Amino acid sequence: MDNQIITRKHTITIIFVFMLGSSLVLRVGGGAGRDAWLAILIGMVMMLPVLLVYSRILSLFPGKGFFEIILASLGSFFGSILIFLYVWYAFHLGTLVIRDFTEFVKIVGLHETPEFVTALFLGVLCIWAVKAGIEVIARWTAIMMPIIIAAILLITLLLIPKFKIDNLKPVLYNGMQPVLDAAFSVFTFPFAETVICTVIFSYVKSGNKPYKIYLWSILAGTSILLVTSVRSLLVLGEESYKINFFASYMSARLVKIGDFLERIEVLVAIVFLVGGFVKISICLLAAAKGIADMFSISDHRQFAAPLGMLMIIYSLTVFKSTVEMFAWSENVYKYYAFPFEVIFPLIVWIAAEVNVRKNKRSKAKT
Amino acid sequence: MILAVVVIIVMIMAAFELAQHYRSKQWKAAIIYTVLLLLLLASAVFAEFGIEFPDPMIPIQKIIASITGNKKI
Repeated sequence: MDNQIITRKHTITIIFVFMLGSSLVLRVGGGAGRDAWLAILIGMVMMLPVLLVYSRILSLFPGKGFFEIILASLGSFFGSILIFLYVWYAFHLGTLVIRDFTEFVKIVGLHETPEFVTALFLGVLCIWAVKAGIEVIARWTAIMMPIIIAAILLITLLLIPKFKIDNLKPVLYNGMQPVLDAAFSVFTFPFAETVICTVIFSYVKSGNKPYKIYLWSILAGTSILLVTSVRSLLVLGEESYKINFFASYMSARLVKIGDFLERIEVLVAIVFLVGGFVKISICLLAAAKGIADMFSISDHRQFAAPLGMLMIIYSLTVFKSTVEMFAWSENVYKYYAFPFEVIFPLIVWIAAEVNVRKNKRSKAKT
Repeated sequence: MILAVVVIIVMIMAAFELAQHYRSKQWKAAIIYTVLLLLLLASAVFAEFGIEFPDPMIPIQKIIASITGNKKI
């Protein structure tokens, strides 16, 4: 077992940046149209009980990560099956983020460059980060987080002259149903995707409460998501927001101060690069750690290179086209991710509670 | 291009990482590593030649479509 330790602040920054990852550039809550901000808020409220479940699981076994808890509470057979499913989910999520990134680069900049080249450069960087260890990822995230926030705030400030408040009105014009549907989508992406981050809690300094760590990251992430989506809505309007998959990037393109400050959308691309890098690295780390825990191997980092390369190759073949990718993300992903984000953690929580109580009783008897 | 790059990377990984596992007699890690490398090579061959391989996404989509009754899926 590697003796790496990350602080509470580092964990908060990792979960925060992981959550923002691809959602800073991809449209969030697009199904709700001009009520996307409301969908984000409802999605956050839906996340709160799930956050309590994640935190409770982690606090029942302090100092252990999610996979170790699964093995301790479900036993090695059922635990290994569940870990295998999570390895698949982490691997697949990492693949999807790589694909988001390569599609973004292809659409907005490097039209002629093969997607494999973009994916390879990003993927190799993530493999290196996982091999370097969670401490390196944590420190790097802590350095980059203020830059991400500053970039988002700067773009928002520069776009204020282009805000049209009428773009947000009328509220709930299409009723509550589309908002609730979009809220469910927002809940599954990006809020509850943070289930993958439960894996890194085995590295968190002891004595830190998972509740506080999770709550702070989710609150911070929600506020940034709200800022970016409301900004895009105010600038682009409902129709453009609905049809632009990279709404945040498209809105940043409109920044023009005199003749000297324009093309500032590159900041959005940088923010996406940073967020995507952290998200893919954590997914890769989770997949590698899952395999290591399943086979009781102490060092997970040795599997980072082959898994990372597999992610890169799979990202090229996972969808046939950009349209298929976005259709899958909008129509299928929420149902596909739900068991990993809610149902399985609930099973683990119940099993963990039973296990802990049993152990307490047997200790009291002896 | 994909296959050529992957073959080079697999050779590097085998020389530096896999060989180390065998040398230090970490059999479990060595076997898993070998399986992952073989999977990587196979998927690179499939990707290079455009061969369709069993995609886990298709059954996932079918299951979700049957549960939700959503024809769009």
